[in-house]
Amino acid sequence: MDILLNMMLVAFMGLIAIIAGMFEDLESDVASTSNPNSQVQLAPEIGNLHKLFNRAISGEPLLVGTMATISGTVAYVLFTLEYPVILVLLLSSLVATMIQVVWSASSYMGRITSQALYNQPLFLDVLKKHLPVIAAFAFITLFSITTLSYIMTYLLNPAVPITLPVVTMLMGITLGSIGSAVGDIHYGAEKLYQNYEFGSGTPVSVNGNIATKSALGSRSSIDVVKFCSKFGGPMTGLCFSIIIFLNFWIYLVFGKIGGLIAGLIIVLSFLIFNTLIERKARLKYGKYEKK
Amino acid sequence: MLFELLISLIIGATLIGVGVHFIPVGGAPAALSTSAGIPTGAPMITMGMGITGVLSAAMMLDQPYYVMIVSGAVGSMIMISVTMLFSNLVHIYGVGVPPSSSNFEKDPITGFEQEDYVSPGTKGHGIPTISFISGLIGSFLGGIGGSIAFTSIYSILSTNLHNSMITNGTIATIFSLLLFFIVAVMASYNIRGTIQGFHDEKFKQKILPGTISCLLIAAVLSLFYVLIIWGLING
Repeated sequence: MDILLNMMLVAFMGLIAIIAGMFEDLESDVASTSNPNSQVQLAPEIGNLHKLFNRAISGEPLLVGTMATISGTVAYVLFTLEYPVILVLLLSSLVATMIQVVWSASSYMGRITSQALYNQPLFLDVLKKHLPVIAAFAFITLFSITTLSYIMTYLLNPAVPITLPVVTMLMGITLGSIGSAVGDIHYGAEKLYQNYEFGSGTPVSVNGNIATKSALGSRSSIDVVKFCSKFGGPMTGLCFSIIIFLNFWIYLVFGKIGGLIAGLIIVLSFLIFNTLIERKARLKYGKYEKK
Repeated sequence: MLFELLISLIIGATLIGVGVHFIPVGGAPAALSTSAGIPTGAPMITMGMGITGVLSAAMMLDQPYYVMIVSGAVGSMIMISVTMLFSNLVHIYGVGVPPSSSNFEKDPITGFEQEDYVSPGTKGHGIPTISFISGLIGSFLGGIGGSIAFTSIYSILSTNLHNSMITNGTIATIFSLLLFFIVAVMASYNIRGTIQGFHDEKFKQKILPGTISCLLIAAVLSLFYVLIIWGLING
């Protein structure tokens, strides 16, 4: 019975991880948090005034890690006060979300006012329109991370021998580093530079020349998130989910030693799959023409 | 006993530092498809990788030490391989560029020419097979290093302190993660920008000073760690 329960929990963790990963990436896209933020920051300096949200509190892993730790700490305190589980998970994520929204607002205002030299205005409608979206996505992310960590520390058998706040920190940092390594490419290399042809990297010479116009009027980060939710976000979710799922699943099914061998085989199969898609992409897209 | 801890911490931290050099890191330019490699900073991806390894090792507390250490390496390898694979998937299907790098002419494993597939004005995009393999080696070394640190700290705490398994596990996790934070930042300062794994010319220039500086910083850090843990046990 134990293994059946554990399998169900691990499958459920994988599912929650998809949601966490997807919304974490979309939150970072709508707020221009991570690596592509440099381009949004650079745009006014070369004369591209924009209505995109611009926030970089810190690197994505550290931001998500910090917020998840706050959520986990509040949850841990509420658990010791013996509140019901669902209420604890909701309340703790809400507290962390509120802090993230305050940081986002102050970070946006600070960043934009620092660009007054280049005549970049601070739009209050951008602030009003984006903050609820940021709050919603952050809440879903933090709720998912806290639930995931709760399952790991309290429900799994054997459970992870680490306390809840530390597990939420671990999950937050891992998710942040995956979000910045996978989902950001779709935002930075494709959506920000949609005014250039599809199927090419971004040359250094065009840095900062981002698309500021949308189909109807100025482009806002809501347009960005609609675009990224079709590919970049779900891919990040899937990536995080596979990592969480595999890290637990291999030991459940193959035992401890068998799990290690299975893990190595899985890693090798990813390598082969990677080579296959690399080959396929080269055959399909062909060589670049020299200019 | 404390001397053993010192030695294993030095070995662990040095392995992490050497491992970071193997990981193909593209930094922020890679997120714009301007440069090849994993599109985030070296410390960021190393932290993510190290955490997965330490978490895997922490799940094996009832097993012999060598199983804990290998499981840390496997956890890190799974994390980095899935991340690199998905990063490539987004590059290929989201941006429409084949993985290639201008840092070397030909991929020695697959034999793929690089220069013709690099879009004009960029230094490459995505993670070619040789860099992928280098990333796996890096994560293996980093995972082993992290789990050596975790295992040695956990074992000394569990034999000397009457704490619960969770308390010892948490202390050991935080200590071993801090190693990742410090050593990864150190190594990434040495790399300075992007690196495409062991086949890159830059790797050959950077690995020796990187290893020596990681060894030095590991020695200093480990000394502090031993002091702190000595205080925890005898304080």
